[in-house]
Parts: sequence; structure tokens; C-alpha cells
Amino acid sequence: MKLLPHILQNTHPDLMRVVLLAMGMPLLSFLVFVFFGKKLPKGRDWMAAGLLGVATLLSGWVLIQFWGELNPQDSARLTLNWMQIGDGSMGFTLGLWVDRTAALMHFLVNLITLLVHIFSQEYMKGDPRLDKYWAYLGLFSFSMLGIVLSSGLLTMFIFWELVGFSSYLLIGFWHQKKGPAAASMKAFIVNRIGDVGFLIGILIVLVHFRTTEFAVLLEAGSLWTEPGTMPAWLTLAGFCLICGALAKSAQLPLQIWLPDAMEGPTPVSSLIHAATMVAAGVFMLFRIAPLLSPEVKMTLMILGALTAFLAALSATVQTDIKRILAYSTISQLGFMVMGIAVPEYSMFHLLTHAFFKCGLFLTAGVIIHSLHHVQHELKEKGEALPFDVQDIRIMGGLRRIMPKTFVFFLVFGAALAGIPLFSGFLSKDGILLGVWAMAEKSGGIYWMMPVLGMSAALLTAYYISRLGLLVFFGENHLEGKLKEKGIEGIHLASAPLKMYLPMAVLALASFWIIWAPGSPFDGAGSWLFPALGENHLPHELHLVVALSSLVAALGGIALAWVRFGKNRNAALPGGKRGFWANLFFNHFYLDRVYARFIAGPFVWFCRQLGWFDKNIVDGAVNGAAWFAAGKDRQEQSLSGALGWFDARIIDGIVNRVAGVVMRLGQAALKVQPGKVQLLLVFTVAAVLLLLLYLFYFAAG
Amino acid sequence: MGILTILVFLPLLGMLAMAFLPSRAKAFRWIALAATLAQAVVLVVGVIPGYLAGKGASQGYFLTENSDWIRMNLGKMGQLDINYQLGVDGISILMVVLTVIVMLVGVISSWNQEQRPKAYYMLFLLLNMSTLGCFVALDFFLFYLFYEFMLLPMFFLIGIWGAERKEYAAIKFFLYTLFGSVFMLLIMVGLSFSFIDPVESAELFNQMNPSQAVTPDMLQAMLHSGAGLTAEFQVHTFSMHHMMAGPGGQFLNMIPGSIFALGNDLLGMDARLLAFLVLFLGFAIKIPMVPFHTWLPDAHVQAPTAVSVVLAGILLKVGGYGILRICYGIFPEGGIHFSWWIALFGVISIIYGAMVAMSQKDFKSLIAYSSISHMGYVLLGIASLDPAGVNGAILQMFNHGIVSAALFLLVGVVYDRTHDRRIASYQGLWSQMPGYATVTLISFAASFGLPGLNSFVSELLVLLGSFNQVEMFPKIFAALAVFGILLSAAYYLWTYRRMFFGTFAVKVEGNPAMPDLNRREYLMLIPLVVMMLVFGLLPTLLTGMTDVSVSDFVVRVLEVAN
Repeated sequence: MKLLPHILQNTHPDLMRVVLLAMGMPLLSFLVFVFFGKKLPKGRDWMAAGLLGVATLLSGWVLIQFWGELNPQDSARLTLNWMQIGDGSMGFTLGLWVDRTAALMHFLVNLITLLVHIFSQEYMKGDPRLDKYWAYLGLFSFSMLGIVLSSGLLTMFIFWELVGFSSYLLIGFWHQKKGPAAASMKAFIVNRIGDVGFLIGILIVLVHFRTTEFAVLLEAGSLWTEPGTMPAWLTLAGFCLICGALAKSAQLPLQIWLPDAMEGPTPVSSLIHAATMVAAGVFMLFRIAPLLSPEVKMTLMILGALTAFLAALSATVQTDIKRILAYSTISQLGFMVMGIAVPEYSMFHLLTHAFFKCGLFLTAGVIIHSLHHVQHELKEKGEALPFDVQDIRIMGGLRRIMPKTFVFFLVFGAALAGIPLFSGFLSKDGILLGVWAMAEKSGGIYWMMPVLGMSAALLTAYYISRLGLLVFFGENHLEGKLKEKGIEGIHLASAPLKMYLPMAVLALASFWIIWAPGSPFDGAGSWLFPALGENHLPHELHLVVALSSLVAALGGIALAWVRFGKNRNAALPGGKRGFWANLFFNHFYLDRVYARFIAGPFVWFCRQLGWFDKNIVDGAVNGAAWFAAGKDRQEQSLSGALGWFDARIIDGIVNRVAGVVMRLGQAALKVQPGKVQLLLVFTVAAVLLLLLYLFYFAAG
Repeated sequence: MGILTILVFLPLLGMLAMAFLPSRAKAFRWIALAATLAQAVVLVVGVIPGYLAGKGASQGYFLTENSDWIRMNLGKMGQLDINYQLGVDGISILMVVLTVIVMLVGVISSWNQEQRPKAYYMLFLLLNMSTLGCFVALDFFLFYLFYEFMLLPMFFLIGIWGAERKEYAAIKFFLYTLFGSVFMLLIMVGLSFSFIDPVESAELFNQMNPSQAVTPDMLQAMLHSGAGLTAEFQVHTFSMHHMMAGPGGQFLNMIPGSIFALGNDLLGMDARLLAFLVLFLGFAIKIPMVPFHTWLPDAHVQAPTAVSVVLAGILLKVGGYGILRICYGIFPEGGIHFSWWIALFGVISIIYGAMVAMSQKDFKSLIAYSSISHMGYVLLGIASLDPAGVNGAILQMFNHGIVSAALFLLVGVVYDRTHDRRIASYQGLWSQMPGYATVTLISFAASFGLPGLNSFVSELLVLLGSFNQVEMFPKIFAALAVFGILLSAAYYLWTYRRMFFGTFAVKVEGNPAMPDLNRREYLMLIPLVVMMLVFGLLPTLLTGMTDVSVSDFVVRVLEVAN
């Protein structure tokens, strides 16, 4: 009998050791900061970053191994037998699986976490709970690494939930404020809705395949490549599993949690709610893609396309800089989910998006940080000038004040908008090409995907240009306000160099050169293929799609220029939003619809149930006692119940014991506690007597 | 004297010591602590190693003790044999471990009990003894004694040391559970009429017929032959082991034509199904199953903290244990017959309990309703009759014992400081009591099934078992049960948001000080948190103890059906 899990398989022990070591770094960071955070010396911030730095180096080494010494198809596997139940036919195995994709993700997560650590050192400086911040970040990156390295659905689900939990902690980091309290709860619960589906899916898979290891599942999945041969239960399992991805990657209809999650610290938004965690859903879809039936994939594509389009619409009218980026993230994730038709490009887009979106959030972070400073100084001076540091309507003209930030913004923004020579163009183009090709082949409703995708691409270019124009061009409205109030000596300052360093790395990765040095205009030439999967897109369509998406991007920029290029005050306070703008601004009132028609009624129903339980279910019990006691008796007060008990039960034959017990009970309530033992002996005797009596009675 | 006897009756020694001390003495808590610590030592040094050593070798019960206790000659009716029979197997071992842990925590948490400490600690030890006895007794009569004995100290502990409506809650608890046990008495007697102890009977037979030398096997054959075994030679037994089906699903010790023989009718219904139902009702009240749960919120809310801890941590488990050992063990065909309904009520308990929990305004009654919801998984797991499901049910009992003990202690922490249990009275506790906030969050997370913590494993196993079974109940029940993890996350996080987020404020008269957890509180909470983690990460520590017995048990039950 084994009381501890044991290793079933370890194919590349040396490589695995390095991977485990890399995974252990953030965990160590978490443990150290949880237990000794307050006692650590001043350099503790660098300790957190240092641990992540080591992890990044190690994962970089692993990555190099995969592109160097190992064969492309090689993968390292470590499997543990977590539990054994019954005849052992059910495999409760946990494990790690490092293939090229996982190695890439492993490196990406570590690198971005490291960059965010460095950025956070400035951004979070002086926060009294900084030790907890590092601890939570450590827990997050450990769990995120777990997701990307997991060898099966069960392992993935465990880390999946842990990621959700650390995200809860980080969104709610400023727990004294109202916003984070609500947002963190909402994020976790909405994700749990998806996880219910995910868990049911896992259970179906486990019951039918007796395992959740990807290696076995994918082999089995290849049995049903012919259309229409997939069994119904597998389709059902597919529908269940994608629920998890839809929630985590903030897709229709579960996207509502992500904009609110922006209540967390901005570096957290950039790491978790833009670059890594939200991409976990897409990564999961990538892993299980061969198991998804055509119906499931179709559903995913429709939902993804709709989300990409609708979220982009919402991003066009937001006034909070982080919310614009949040909707942008939802929209980009929509592209990736839509791209399940060409999963390798979804992964590609996931990778490129991680860098430029993280960069955009850090850009926003720099601006917010300096506005925080202004707020702080105002407070010290005792001046009252309330403003929202995330409101783009008080920004403007920052090109002048923060030129470095502006340059970075241009790079990241161009990558997002899909301008050639930038990374986003390569990957987004692939997805659009994939859905276009599929539409040409299948026709009909499949045209919805390229059409919505292209429109979303246009809107993307539009909203990011709008953001740029309003934030970086024109006059600075805050300075104007300060001048109006006659406050002097307070200026928006540029950020410290430490904040720009991570952004520089991200900016580098936003150019084509990192991804496809040989072919700046075609993602198919990237060195990532065939590691992510065979690239089988029709080449002849490429020119059409690339040109269309370029036109869309330029069109979006042009539109923004027309609207905001000259009249930069168009979205400033006082300007009322029209019907459509209101609709977009509130993201189609989805939040309110859910609150009104689902959450509200549900809580109301629970309250009714609580009343029902108290008054009807329990009332029936009390009522029965009252009824049995007779109407002349008092209600179920102690004396009433006791009296009833005396009269009714003691007269019964069978319940004589009970009567004795009760009487003794009454007595014991009054007598010295020292006598209780004696009374209990009487009870035993009574039970024995009753038994004898019954026996003879029954025996006749 | 066997090790289990020592384990069970150690508290009695403590009580004896207390009985000689004057009521004003201060040492009661130390004696109680010593007794429970001694139990822990016996458990760790004796019981667990002994169990594990035995378990490798064979199946069945371990550390068994068996001696004649009461023997009565019934003349023409044969003889009646009551044994002092103890033992553990995979179904009970975790319950024994849990009892020792929770009782120890309970003693620490009642450290500041100043109201009549002598009676309090004596009753507490008595409760300890009788609960442990329940889990190790293999003789039905002995089980019944311990079972009844449990009610008494519980009644007083709630009725004397409880909160504002303690009398009402105590009486309600008492009546409710007594209702179940009265019927148990009848069925127990009926069962002893229906089964013989083959070894003792053979001995008796040989005594009366010195010319013959029948073996127990031969005697069993005689019992089932056309002529049957004369009543005179029947030694009626209370041993549960003899009442259960042997290999092949045959009830070898069953007296044909007796009251609980297969196929016998009683009140127009199959007698054994009726007996199953009645016994099940009694245990279902204990577990508690909706709609027989209403005693629990009252008892919990009114009971002092340590008693709530014991109540939720252990006493509810007697219900689940009884269903497994007695209902399913002795009447397996009843279990299969009613599994659809048991699973249904399990699911109802899960969902209904969680939804009512959502509406609670009292912190303690929220935890009480969450207990109802989580114990629903136990019913579902048992009903699945799948090795994963039944293992999961046992693990869920164990894990819920650990988690709910922690949760009630946590309620006790704020209650001690303010004497106010309303959720709305607290706000922003995170800033004021960070240690308390952390432990609460971990315990909440364990309770809503966060992977890495213990309840996740047991809920996963239960759900898997109920998806894996095919004949017992429709899989939609299992799918519905999954929603329990969503609802529990909802009510816990909502509570957490209301009580712990925001700026600190306590809306209680007198502005009580709210210091963070003190050393004693950490002492009782940290081990529980550690256990949540350890058993969440290494569930084999638990399943390794249960699995063989459970698989065997499931096979036996299903054999009877075929």
C-alpha cells in the first residue's frame, strides 16, 4: 500500500530537473514572502525579481534545448500517480509535459513576470503591503507555469483554479477600497461558472478515457478525424470544456469580469489580465483542439468573432485608459478563440499579443503613476482638485511631457493595430487568413468570421489611434486645470528609467524581427512553425488578406484622425453620449442584464428559500410538536416541549428509555454536575432493562 | 486489553480523575487536555501503525478485540449473545483519526470555559468516549449504546453552555435524533432474532449433542437446509459482521423465515427494505439530509464554539458512517433499491443547503448551512456505489470534519471578541486582523473546493464516482452536484467581501477591541490549516487507508444485488 504519490514516467530527467527548478523559483518567492516578508531586509524587492530572473534564465535554457539538441517532436514528460482507487483502471495522474509550445510559454511567462516585477518596484513603491504583493505574484506565476506545463486536464484544472485564486488576491490587493472588493469577487465567481463546465468536461473525459493525460487523449482524438464520426459524449465533453476557456479568456457570454478586474494594480493588469492568465483559455483550447468536434469549434469561432467585434466597439468609446485596454484585450482574445480554426496561429497571436499588450498596459501604468504623483503632491499641498488618474479626458499633450512613453506607445500601438513590420500584423494576419480560407471553402455562415474579424481589425486601429490622439496630442487638460485653479509648482513628470527598461524589452518583441526575421510580411515564415503545428494555409490567399487587413488598419487610423485629429475635445466632459455610444460604453448593458435577470433573481430566490426553510420546513417541525402537544398547551417553549415530552412519550412503551433519559436530563439541569455520572449509569441500566423486556415480550 | 479499548476509554480515566476533584479546582482543562493528548499518542503510536501493518496482509477488520459480554439463555428460543467487539477497517479508521484530532482541538478551543468547568469537561470527555466508541464498535448492541450515549452529553453541552436560545435548540436536537434512534433499537432487536453466530451456535450444538462435531460451516449449511436448525441451538448475535453478506453475496447466518430474512414482509412491505429505510432516516437526520436538517442550524448557532466544532466535525459523520456500515452493510439490497432517492436527496441537500446559506445573515448559521450542503456529497458518493464515489464520501467526511472545525473556530474568534454573530456587524477585518483574514480565506477556499486543499479531492472523487456509475442514478444528478462548487464559492466570497474587505468597522455596542489571533487561537487553527494542505496535496495518505476496504465493500454490496 502506498501512502505517497509515486513517479510513473520521467522521460528526460535532466531537462525536467531544470524545469522543476524554474517552476520552484516563483513558489519559493511566494513562500519566503508569505512567511518572512516583513522581516526581509530592504533589498527584498530585488530578491523577488532575482528569483524570477533565475527562473527566466532556466526556462530560456530549456527553450534553447528544444530548438537545439532535441528533435522537434520530442517532449519531456513527468507523470505522477496521485491517487489510486479501486482496481486502478482510473488514472488519477498528475504531470508535466514540456514540448516546444510549452517551452515557449514557459519562457514567456517567466520573462513577462520578471519584467513586471521590475516595473512594479517603481510602481508599487511605498505600498505597506508590498511583501504580500510579491508573494501573490509568486503564487500567480507558479500556478501559471503549472497551466502551461501540465500534462493533462486534471493537472491543468488544479493550476487553473490556483491561477484564478491568485488573480482574486491580486485584483483585491487594495482590499480597503470598494472597487477591488467587488471586482475580485466577480472575477472569481464568473470564472467558477466556466469551471463548472470545465470540471464536468473533465469528468466525462475521465470516465470514458480513464485518463486525462493529453498524450492519450490526442492519440484517441485522431481516431475521429472523419467528420460526423465523433461520438455524442465527446461533443458534449467538448462543449463543457470550452466553458472554462470562455470564462478565463473572457469571451462571450462570460467576458464581463475582465473590465472590472482593472481595479487591481496596473502591473497586475498587464501581467495577468492581459498577457498571461487570460491567455490560458486559448492555450487550453490549443491543447485540446483535436478533441473538439466541428460543432464545438464552430461555436467557438462564432463566439470569438462576436466577442472580437463587440469588445472592439466598446473600446472605441471608453474614457478610462485601462478599460480601453481591457476591452482591447477581450477583443484580441476573441481573435485567438476565433482562430481555433488554425490553432497554431492562435498560439502565435497569443505570444505576440502578450508582449505588446503588456507593453500597452505598462505605458498606461507610467502615465497613471505620474498622475498619482500629482495627486499626492496636491494632497500634501492641501489643494482640492479631485480627478481620476485613469481618465483620458484629463490627459492630452503627453507627447511633449513624456516623449519616451510616447515612442513606446507608438510601437505597441502599431503592433496592436496590425501595421506591417510589427509583430501583431504577422499573427493576426494568419488568423484572418485561416478563417477567410475556411469561409471560401465552406461558404454560408462561415463568412461571418472574416467579416467580423476584418471589422474588428478596423475598429482596433481606430480605438488605439483615438487613445493615442487624446492622450498624447493636443493640450494637457490637467495642466490647464491646475492653471485655472492657480496651483503652481506641480508638473507631470517623466517616469524613472527603471520603468522604461521592461518596456524596452517588450518593444523589441513587438517588431517582426524577433518572430520572423526572414519574412516581415508573412507570419508563415516564422521560426515558430512547425513547432506550433503544421502550417497549411493556402498561400495564394495571403496577398488578398494581408492587403485587406492593412486597408482596415489604415482605415481605422484615418477615421480616428478625422474624428479626433483636429477636434481633440470631442470626447471631453460635457459632451453627452448618444444612444449607440451609450450602448457601447456600457458594453451592451450585459452587466446590467446579468445583474437584473440572473444574479438579482437568484439572490432573491435564495432569500425566499431561506424564509421557506425557516418558516415552512422548520415551521413544520415546530408545528408538529405544537400540534402533538395539544391546543391548551403552550407553544414550543422549553416548558411546553418538556411537558409534552413528559406526557406523551413517557406513556409510550417503546419510548420508555427516552423518557427516563429526559427525566434524568431535567434532573441533571438542576442537580450538581458531579452527579451526572451516576445518572448516566442509570441510563445504561434503563437501556438494558428495556432490551430484556422487549425480548421477552417479543418471544411471547 | 486491546489498543482500541485503551483509545476509547482513556477519556473515562480523565473523567474519573475529575470526579475526585472539587468543583472549584482549576485543573479540569489540563486533565481534559492530558486525556485527549494521550489519545493522540495512542493513535499515532499504536492504532495507525497497527492498522497499516495489518492492512498489507489481508482485508477485513484490524486491531480486533472480541470477548463475551452478555450471554442469556432464552430457553426454547436459543441463546442471546452480546459481544464486546471492537475493530477498525478502511471505513472507520479515518473517522477515528478525525475524532481524536477534532476532540483535541475542541479542548483547546474551550480553554477559557469558566462556567461550571467540571461538568463541562466531564461531559466533553464523555462525548469523546462515546463518539469514538461508535466508530470502533462492531457489535450492533455496543454501537447502539455508544450512539445513545452521544446524545446525552451533547444535550447538556448545548442546553447548559449554549447561547440565548439554548434550551430550545437542545430539546430540538435531542428529540430529532432520538426519533431516529428509537427505531434503531427495534430493528436491532429484530436483527438479532434473524441472525446467528455460527461459531457459538456450533459450540452449543456440540455441547447438546456430544456425539456430533459440527463445524460452523456445517451449521450454516444446516441452517439453510430443508429441515433447518432447531431454534434451541440458535445463538442469536448482535455482531454486525455476522449480519453482513459473505463472499458471493450469501447471507450465511440468516435464519430462514425470520423477521429480517430475505423476502419477508412486514406491514405490507419488504421487511428488509423497511428496516433499511427506517435506519436510513435515523442516520439521515444526523448527517443531516434536507428536509430533516432544521435541528442543525439551531443546534450549531446556539452551541458554544467547541461544541459546534465537535458537532460539525464529528457527530454529523456518525450519520454517514452509520449509513455505510449499517444501512448498506447489513441491508445492501436496500441500498441499491433506494440509491436513486438517496442520490436525489444528496443533490437536493447540496444545492438547497448552499442556496439557503447564501441568504443567511448570521455567520454561524451560514457555516451550518454550508455543512448541510457539503454533507450532501457524502450521500451522493455513497449512493453511487462506485469505489471512487464511496472513497470520496469517506474522504469528504474526513475533510469536512477538518474544514468545518476550522470554520466554527473562526466564527468563535469574532464571537469571543464581540458576542455578535451577524455578518453585517463586521467590515474590513482584513486591515485589522490580517492573520485572522488569512486563515479564514484559506479555510473558505478549502471549503469551496480549491484544488491543493483537501475538500477538492473528496468532491472530485464523489463527482467522478457519480459520473462513473451507470445503474444507480442518472448522471444529471452528478452534473447538478457540480454546481455546488459554484454556489459555495459564491456564498463564501460574498461573505468574505462583506466582512473582510473595505475599511475596518465593527458595528457592535461598546466598541470592542478586535485584536488579531492570539497564540492559543493560532495553536488550534494552524494544525487544521496544515492538514487542509497536506491532505489536499497528498490524498493518498487518506485513500491509502480506505481504498482496499472500500473496494471490497462495494464489491460485496453489488454482489448481493446480483
